[in-house]
Amino acid sequence: MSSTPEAQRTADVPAKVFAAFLKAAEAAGLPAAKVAALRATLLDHPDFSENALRNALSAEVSVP
Amino acid sequence: VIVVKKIAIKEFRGIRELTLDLSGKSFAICGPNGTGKSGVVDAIEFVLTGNISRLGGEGRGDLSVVKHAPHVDSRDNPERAQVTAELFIPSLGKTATVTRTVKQSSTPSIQPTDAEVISVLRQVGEHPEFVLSRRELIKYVLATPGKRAEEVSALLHLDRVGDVRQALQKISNAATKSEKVASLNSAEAKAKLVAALGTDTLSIDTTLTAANTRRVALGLTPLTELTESTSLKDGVQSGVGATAQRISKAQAQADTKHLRDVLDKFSTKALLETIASARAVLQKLQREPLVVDGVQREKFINAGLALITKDECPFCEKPWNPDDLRRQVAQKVVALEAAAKKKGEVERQLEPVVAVANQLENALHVASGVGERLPKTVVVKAIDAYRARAAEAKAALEELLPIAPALAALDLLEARHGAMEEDLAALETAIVALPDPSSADAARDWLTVAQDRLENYRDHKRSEHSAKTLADTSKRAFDIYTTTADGVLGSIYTEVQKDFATLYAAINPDDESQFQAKLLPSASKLGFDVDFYGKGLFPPGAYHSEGHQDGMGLCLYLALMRHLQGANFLFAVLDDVVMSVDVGHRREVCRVLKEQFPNTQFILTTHDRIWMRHMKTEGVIGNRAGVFFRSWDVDHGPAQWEDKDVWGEIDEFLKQDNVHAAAGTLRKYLEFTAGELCHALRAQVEYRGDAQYQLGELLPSAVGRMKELLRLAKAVAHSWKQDAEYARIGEREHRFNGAFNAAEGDRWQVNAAIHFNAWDNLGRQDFAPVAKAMRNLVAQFFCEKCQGVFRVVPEREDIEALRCDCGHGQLNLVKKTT
Repeated sequence: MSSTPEAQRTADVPAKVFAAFLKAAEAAGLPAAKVAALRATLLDHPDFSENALRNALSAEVSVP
Repeated sequence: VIVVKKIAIKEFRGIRELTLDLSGKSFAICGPNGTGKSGVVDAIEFVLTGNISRLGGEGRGDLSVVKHAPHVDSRDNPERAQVTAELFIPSLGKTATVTRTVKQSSTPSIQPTDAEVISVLRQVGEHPEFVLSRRELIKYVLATPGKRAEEVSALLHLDRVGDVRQALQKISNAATKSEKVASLNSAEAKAKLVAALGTDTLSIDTTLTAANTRRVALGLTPLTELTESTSLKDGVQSGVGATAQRISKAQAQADTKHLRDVLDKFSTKALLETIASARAVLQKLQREPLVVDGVQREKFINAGLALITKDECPFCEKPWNPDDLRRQVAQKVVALEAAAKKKGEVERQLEPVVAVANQLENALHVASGVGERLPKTVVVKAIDAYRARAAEAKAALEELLPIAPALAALDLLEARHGAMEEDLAALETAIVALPDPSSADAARDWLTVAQDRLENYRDHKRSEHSAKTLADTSKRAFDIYTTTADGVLGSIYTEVQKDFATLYAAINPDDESQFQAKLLPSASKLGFDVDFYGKGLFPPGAYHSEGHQDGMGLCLYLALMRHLQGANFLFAVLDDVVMSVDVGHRREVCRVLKEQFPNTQFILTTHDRIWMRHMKTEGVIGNRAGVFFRSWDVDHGPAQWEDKDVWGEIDEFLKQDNVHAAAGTLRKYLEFTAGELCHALRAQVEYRGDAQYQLGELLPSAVGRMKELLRLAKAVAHSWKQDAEYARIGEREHRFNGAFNAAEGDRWQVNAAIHFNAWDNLGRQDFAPVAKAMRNLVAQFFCEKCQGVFRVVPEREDIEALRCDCGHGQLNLVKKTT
């Protein structure tokens, strides 16, 4: 038999990649506001355009 | 996600009207080339996705669904071209019906109008990869690594992953560039501030010391700290004093001195060497026209990529699906990766020269402003002209291409410019001639200018900080994304390669049971090496046969689909996919499909009847889960070998007194059916290497075998003392012999070939009874209840029974042992 588990899996490989990226970005200390904005544009309301991503990376961060 | 229970096709591709009852099970469509098999595949794809991939792709620019999906006679009536599919959705336990017309291909009619059903069907529509044709197999196996990466990406929907990677890289590159510009501007603002302060360096202490000297001269409180909001001229009253001059003499002198300092840099050995080095880099690039062409294309395509905002190509205005177009253009950018890298290297080497060109332009700009603000304006046309050329030079160096203006820019920077020097000297003379201000005015002017430049410096510094923050964040995001995506995709590829190797070894158990494979992902490429009988890993096309390569393509596809859809891999169409696989391995392919994918409904097409039989024998498809297309014509579409069709067709020909056509149809049908009967009954036929059997070689064998089996069944019943069964078989034998005799079977032995060919020469009245007798004879081979063909079981080794699908006419063929 195949080594592939027959368990239900997501057919959405991109979503898997995006989720892993956001987790890694958070762990690497990327500002929370930017991670939240990236999550919104990659997963919640998918928009993969350069503009949308630039806006997410420019999301305001409160400076102490 | 779904299985197909039934499909009804009207006026679509080469099909006029056709309904296939698939019952949600695997199903095969067999027929010679050009009989309409792929029309069914197109119909399935169309009803589920609204598209036909065969009408798209490279080299098919003039083809489209709207124009070419309808039957040629309905090309002006796309509303008549329609496909209806009855589907079952296991996850919902619901049945749904989808009807799609070519006219309204994007808005199918779906029943029931249930949100869950619609959502599932939308998901299916987004996965056209459930159709795999033979020409597509090769793209997984023999493609270049770049092309293979594209195909696998499309299958796994990795285009979005690639889109985001590309966007993040572009954002990072642009932010880095912006940061450099902001940094240059900030350095320039700093230089201007330092010039205004009259200090050698810029620090809080030097600034406060210089400012407090002027403030004390004006009787103002000295500043004790310099914060973001400190004003050097705090307390200075505007309009107070004799500042009649529009310009501070000291400041004007500082600004012209700054220009001199910048100009002097162009005489230094260090800068001259930097310029010479930049020139060498550009000249080297100039000698590599292919690289220059690549850089130019890369710039052009990147510019185009940004312009794709609607459904047409920004270059030629040809209509496109925006996602497809973006992907296409992005692929070209990837292909020009080497050129982009080279461009980046050259840009980095030119950076110091661009920086100094920027300083020069700014210093000239300031000096020009001084000339305008002097009480008696000094016209500095040469300075203005030189400034314009310095700006052009900077732009040419930043643009890089074409190379000639960039080289000319270096010449401009190196050269001394007499007219400009004369303007500058005149300007300095005019400034010297200005009356010296009072010490209070001088202090006031100094504080005003210093404060202006301090604010300017602060603005630029803030911009630089923002640009740096964005550049840092963008780069980190890009790096994290790249690492993460590579990790996730790497683990997917590892899993897929393992599954692929398992599947491939399963279809080649005799000689490749230890088979291994390696998927080798790298940026935008996917290498693929496979084991060659333990001699090492090589590309699939290196040593493996075409048949093995087809098998690899199928296995890689199945492994990818299994990974992509997991337990939801319930439906796939395999359009003529394993034609090159040899007979032995086809049986193994059947086993893999059946055993490894027991829950997947496969729709398989083939022109090979033996392949079809393998599918039935191995249980991939049920005994009646398939159709044979015998012929096709443009007016009627595919014709199946179905009794009702054939006998109706023969009757129709006879009504038209067309014995020739009726005899031809009967002969072809009997040839086909007799072949199937010989296979089902395990009849002996004189072997032909070309498999081109004639009716006279097949039908007598089938009849003889049936007689033999009926005799054997009687003997078996007798051995078991089953008198009633014995009598029942006797009646059946009697019926069979009657049908045989009516068909003049005894005459076949005289000369079978001549006998059947002689049908053509009969008149209508003579041929009609022949057709009727043949119909009755053929009927004896099928169960009257289930209409299934009687067949000997098992297919190999000692025979045990003669049976049909329902078991109604089953006969025991194993005698009682004494």
